[in-house]
Amino acid sequence: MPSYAGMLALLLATLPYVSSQNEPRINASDQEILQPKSGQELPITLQCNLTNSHSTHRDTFWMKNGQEIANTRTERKHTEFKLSKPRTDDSGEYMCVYTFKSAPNANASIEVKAAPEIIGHKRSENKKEGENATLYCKSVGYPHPMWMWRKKVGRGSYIDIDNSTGRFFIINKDNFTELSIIGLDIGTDPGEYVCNASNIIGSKESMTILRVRSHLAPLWPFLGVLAEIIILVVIIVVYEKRKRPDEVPDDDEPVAPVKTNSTNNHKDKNVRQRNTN
Amino acid sequence: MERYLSDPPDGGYGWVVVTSAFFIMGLTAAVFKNFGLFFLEIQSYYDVLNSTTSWMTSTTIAVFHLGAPLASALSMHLSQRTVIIVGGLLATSGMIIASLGLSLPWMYLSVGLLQGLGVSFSWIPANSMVNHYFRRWRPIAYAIASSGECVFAMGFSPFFQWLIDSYSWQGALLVIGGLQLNLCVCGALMKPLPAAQTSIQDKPVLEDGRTSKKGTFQWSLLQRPELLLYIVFAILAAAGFFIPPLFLVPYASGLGMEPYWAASVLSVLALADLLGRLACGWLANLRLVRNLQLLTMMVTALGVVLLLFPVAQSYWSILVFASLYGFLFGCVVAIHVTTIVDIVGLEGFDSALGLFMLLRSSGGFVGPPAAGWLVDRTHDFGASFYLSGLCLVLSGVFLVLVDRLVKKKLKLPHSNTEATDQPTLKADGAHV
Repeated sequence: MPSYAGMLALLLATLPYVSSQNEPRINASDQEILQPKSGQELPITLQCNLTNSHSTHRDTFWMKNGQEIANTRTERKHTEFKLSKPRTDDSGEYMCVYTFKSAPNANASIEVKAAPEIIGHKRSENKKEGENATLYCKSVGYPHPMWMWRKKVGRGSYIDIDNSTGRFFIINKDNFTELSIIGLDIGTDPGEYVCNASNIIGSKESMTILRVRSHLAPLWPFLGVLAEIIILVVIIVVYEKRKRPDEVPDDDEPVAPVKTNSTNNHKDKNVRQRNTN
Repeated sequence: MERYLSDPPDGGYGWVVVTSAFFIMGLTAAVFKNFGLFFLEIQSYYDVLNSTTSWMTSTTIAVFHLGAPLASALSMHLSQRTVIIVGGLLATSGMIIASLGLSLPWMYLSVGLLQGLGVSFSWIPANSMVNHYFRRWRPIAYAIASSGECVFAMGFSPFFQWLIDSYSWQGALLVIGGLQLNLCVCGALMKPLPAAQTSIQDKPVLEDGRTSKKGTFQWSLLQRPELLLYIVFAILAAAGFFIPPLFLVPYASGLGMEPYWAASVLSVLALADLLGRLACGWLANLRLVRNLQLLTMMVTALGVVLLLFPVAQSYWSILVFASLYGFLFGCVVAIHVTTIVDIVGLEGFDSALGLFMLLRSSGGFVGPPAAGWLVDRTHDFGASFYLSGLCLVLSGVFLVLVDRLVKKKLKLPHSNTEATDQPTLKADGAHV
């Protein structure tokens, strides 16, 4: 007669077989690699098929990067998600999720990979000496890239950023990187900065020009305008003096040109006017 | 030659005055119109709210209007030339102080008080000079001068943006301050006219040629009903004027238009404004109808266009309505100052201009908040256009009353106003 221990052992031995019988199995299509730039944007279809479900299946939907995609819920066991013209921002981790009446959800994930593309960056940044500058780059593509900042010198050659002065700070997140420079130095900091995003599929970089203005820069146009004004005023004063060299340009003098030999006697002129009255 | 004593030159050096006034209006009004480009920079520099930065320009507007009678009075005592030069110095110093980027109260002092006073001291006498120097060609001369504001406003928009990008906002203000010093140059060109003609009960011609040009500020003009009613028109019209520009972009955005397209509507509006000013100045010069009648027609048409504005729902219809609005707005602006001469005559013009600017500002202050309240109540941006259209049509009613009163006055024998635009025989007898 088998003992209790033996029966327990037998039960335990068959348990995996039993439970594996009840586990839902999902057939999912393979990972895809997008080549959006190659010109042929072939449509891509992701498929999932539920085989061997134990409890009653309720519905199915798709998720991308942890968020449910709208309008994908069906009650079918075989489900497809089609990307008709896949672009780089369609890449990511997709999951088909099956829900059941009285069992936890089951899912399978399919990775859609693409080389990174840089979608957001400033073309140029103009700041004054001593201020802080912030350069950034945003990307799409999956898996999330590794970021690197470099500075361009000459043609096509790069140097790494020299942080011996401790003024450079880099923050890297999944699809975003930021380079902050505090206390801009007009001698060493201006130049072309390049952010480079690379993942297992490919890499991309984009450039931002950093210009540092000196404190005195606006003085030059200001002095130029002042010079123009002084020249104009001199011209006007000289012109007025030539017309009436004996008169001090006085606001209340009559404009009427009095054609006479120059005389310093104001009274004379007014006598003349009164007489003609 | 005594022709300057009795007749405005109506040409000759007057065109130099018009050119100078063109630049003065550009360097004052156009700078102010484009000051909005500095708002974001100043706001982030001082880390304050949007409303705080817009209070700066509100102070400029307030100081401009309060300073208007002061500018008129001073230009009667000294001369327009002196006041404009002082105005140029004030405006420049305001900009230079602002460019230092000191604390916020200094910004209010510089941008608000100094710039506002400088603009007032330059703009008012320049207007006065153009009107004094012309009679027959007055409408078109004034229209050309006031178009300076439009031309410069269009040019300054990209120019200021470039200045801010290249030199930062402080550097840009410094350069603009230097440019405003040209107001002094323009002022130097404003040669004063000799004594304007006076009435029969003449003040005696004084020894050194300084005569009744040194008038006093005539507060008594307010007792004239025609001027009073004209000022009521001005208050209502100002309320109607200041509302649409503020609400045009939100209205367009509310219909789903993108910011770039909404901005292009404003550019079209500025261009239509310029064309309206020039066209109406030329039209007024033809003297087919009296200035007051022309003004009434334009104001009413403008009111009607605004009342119909909410009919526009698409980009192209908004563009059409905005061009019509801009054109008619330019027309009204071109003649509503020269009309003052028809009402009070040339010797009362300076005082009346000062009073006009001072009192109409109340409409400009009350209008936009009232429209804002209405829009909040009705949840419809179109309500602001209804309000401004209504104000303008109502103001037209007052214009009709003014026209009647002025016509009645003309029938009186001792009229010394220039309402008829006919040369009248003057007391001193001497004539060209």
